[in-house]
Amino acid sequence: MPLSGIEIFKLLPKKNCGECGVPTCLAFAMNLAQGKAELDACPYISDEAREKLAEVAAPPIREVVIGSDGRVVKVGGETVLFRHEKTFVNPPGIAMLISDTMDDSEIDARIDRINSMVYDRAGFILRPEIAALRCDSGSKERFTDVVGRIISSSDCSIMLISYDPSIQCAALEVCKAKRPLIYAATSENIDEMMELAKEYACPLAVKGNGLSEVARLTSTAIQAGLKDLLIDTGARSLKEAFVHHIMLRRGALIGKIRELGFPTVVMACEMSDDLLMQTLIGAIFIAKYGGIIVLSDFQGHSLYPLLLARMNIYTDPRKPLAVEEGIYEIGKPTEESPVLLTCNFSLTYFLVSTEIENSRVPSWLLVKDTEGLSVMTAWAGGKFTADVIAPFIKKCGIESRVKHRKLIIPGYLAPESGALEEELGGEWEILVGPREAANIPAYLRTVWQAA
Amino acid sequence: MILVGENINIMSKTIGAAIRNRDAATIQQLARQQAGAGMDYLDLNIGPARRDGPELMEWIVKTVQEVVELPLSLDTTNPDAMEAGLKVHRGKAIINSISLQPERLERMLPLAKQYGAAVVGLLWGTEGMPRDADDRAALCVELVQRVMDAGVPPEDILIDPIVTPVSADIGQVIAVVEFMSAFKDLAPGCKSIVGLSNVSNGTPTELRPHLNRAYLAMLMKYGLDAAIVNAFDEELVKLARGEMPEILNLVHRIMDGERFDVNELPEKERIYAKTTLVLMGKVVYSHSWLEA
Ligand code: B12
Ligand code: SF4
Repeated sequence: MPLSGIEIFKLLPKKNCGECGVPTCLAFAMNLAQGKAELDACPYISDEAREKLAEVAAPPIREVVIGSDGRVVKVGGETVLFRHEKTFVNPPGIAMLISDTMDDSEIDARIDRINSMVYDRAGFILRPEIAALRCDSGSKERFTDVVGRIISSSDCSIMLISYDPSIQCAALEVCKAKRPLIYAATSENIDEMMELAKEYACPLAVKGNGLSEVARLTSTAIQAGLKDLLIDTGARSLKEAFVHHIMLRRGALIGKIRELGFPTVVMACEMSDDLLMQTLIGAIFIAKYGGIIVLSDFQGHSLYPLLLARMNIYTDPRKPLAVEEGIYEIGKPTEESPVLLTCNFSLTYFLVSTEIENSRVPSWLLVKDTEGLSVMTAWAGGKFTADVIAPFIKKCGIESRVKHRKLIIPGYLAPESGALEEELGGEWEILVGPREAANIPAYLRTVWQAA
Repeated sequence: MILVGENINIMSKTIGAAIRNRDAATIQQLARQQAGAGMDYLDLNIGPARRDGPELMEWIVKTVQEVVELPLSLDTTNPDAMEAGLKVHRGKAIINSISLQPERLERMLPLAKQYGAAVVGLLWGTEGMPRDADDRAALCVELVQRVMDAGVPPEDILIDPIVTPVSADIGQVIAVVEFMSAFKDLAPGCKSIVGLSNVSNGTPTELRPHLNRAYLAMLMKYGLDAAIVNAFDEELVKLARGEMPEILNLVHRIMDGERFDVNELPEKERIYAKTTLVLMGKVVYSHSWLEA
């Protein structure tokens, strides 16, 4: 476990002299904890503290950025084994394989899929980031042609797959501004590949046969001054790849083995021919430590679940998630449909909207910004009381969408119903809904229909 | 330690009704009982009180101070109600609470200087709940600065790191303890305060005191200055008053990593030991944690 800012703070001299560049020891400690400062910036650290703090000087898993603008991917930088210990930080990049031996229409169709597969889930934009271009033709001209084609028609980031340094060099010349990932350096080509990575200042993946060979490769690269590395252990069976990922993460975090402290590349496309199987493999490595996950293709039904799994695993479990304030249409509501009110805590929103869907009664769901707090928490904090709900009802635009003036409020807000009716100038009739979302379908089908 | 009785609270069914009906007798009786139980302050939680806040707060402050000498902690998010309460309050009141949220700083904070009141600074950020001890530390430093800039001396600042239920997220329970371990360095001269009973929210009523007491003992390791507590938990009050040094010693040794065969300990020690392990996150919480 990395040290927290507080633990670091306790070891600092507490002079608050500002010589480290930030005004206080605490600020310096926070920066150290986040890998944003160097220990040596404080001239007053005791030797004992220095020893204890050595590990924070080098973050255990390197954070690597692929891409320069558009869909930039940041991977690595993780500090825990288990999400509930703190949070996972940088979600894995999802890549689609494109071979330069595919015909142009197929390549265009693939680029189109990368560009168009964008999903909006409760205010979050989900999409894949990377085109993984593999040189199978053996031809520099063809490969650079395909690279050019992609960078001119997509803002995705690029991974270049070829073991031939001269082909990599030609392709890098075309797309260096995009800071592509070079895949891969092996025991055979590592010297030339390292030269390219240095010259073009691009991240480099090393590929070995098993953990020890990989560690030798990263060790060579570290000595050569390279920092932005990724690891492919060469495993192509699910079991072996899984074991390797666990060992890499444990080795980096617990064993503090610097050679293993890099994000990984998961070549799911080489682990199965079946897209469904690849998707399953992708999901496993989203949960367990994958860095870049390369799939042979994207289809809506394969990609969307992966993107969603990724979003869920990489949300910060310490923070209530919020959805955006506004009017959400469930089913195809009309001017006669019921209007329900809830808060913007994601969990609440999902529970309530799912139950409204289950009821099959098309409805308008008004979501009030409560800073991500649940119904009662928000009420207790004064963020879901009549005086703030009323202006929201007035200005959100629902009054032009429905003819009736009946508002269903959460059962737990019952104490506010009188005040709310008053605040709304008596124009709206307030109906107190059930307390639990599970009872919404029955409520809409009986009480509402009768009202 | 400063003990603040939490029992006058609009969220309780009977007291809530008494407050709404302006039933002075019930409130006064509860105030006397809490004073008798040895409280230093009484908390008056009237909720957001958006509609009748000022009138309600004024009424309840007067009602309570008619029968007890104690100073009060005025607990509402409504600044108008707060001011109405401070105007009629006798002695040094506590403003409960402010936070870095602009709407709570702008209106509430000036009242502290104006009325010479102490103020509870909740470590709730503009982005919501602090995620861990580090977030709390950052919020604490910023909030203390803001409050001191408004002319409130450090000894009148009570920092509340936000205690959350053990059954919700144990990480947060641990984070408060970690934060407290650095508190004296983070905010020299300031005091710390917790809403203690939050830790046992959602756990079976008869078991709640065990969690409250053990958590208090843990926080006392780092010199907790004040706690808002259930006034009628006699053992808790004894613990807070330093009358149970052997228990404190046990809890603190467990926190320092010493291992005990907990099932071999006498009944009372066993309860504290097991509960401490749960609150440290060493044992996963379940309603039957004492039986395991
Ligand atoms: C986790 C939690 C917190 C977290 C917040 C996490 C979050 N995202 O909200 C934190 C620690 C931050 C917190 C803080 C506070 N909390 Co709190 N908290 C809780 C707890 C334990 C769980 C809340 C939760 O996540 N519920 C799950 C969601 C899904 O529930 P929900 O939003 O209510 O939605 C359900 C229903 O309402 C219904 N529903 C929702 N919308 C709609 C709409 C319609 C039309 C219908 C029909 C139904 C419906 O369906 C949903 C599923 O059934 C509750 C206890 C509890 N039993 O609720 C206390 C609780 C809500 N908190 C409480 C209090 C007092 C507070 C604080 C004021 C404490 C303090 N003194 O500082 C602060 C306020 C913060 C602030 N400054 O604003 C009290 C509120 C008491 C009351 N009745 O007023 C509670 C009830 C605990 C208690 N028993 O004392 N809290
Ligand atoms: S230089 Fe060192 S002592 Fe001075 S403020 Fe920075 S961390 Fe503190």
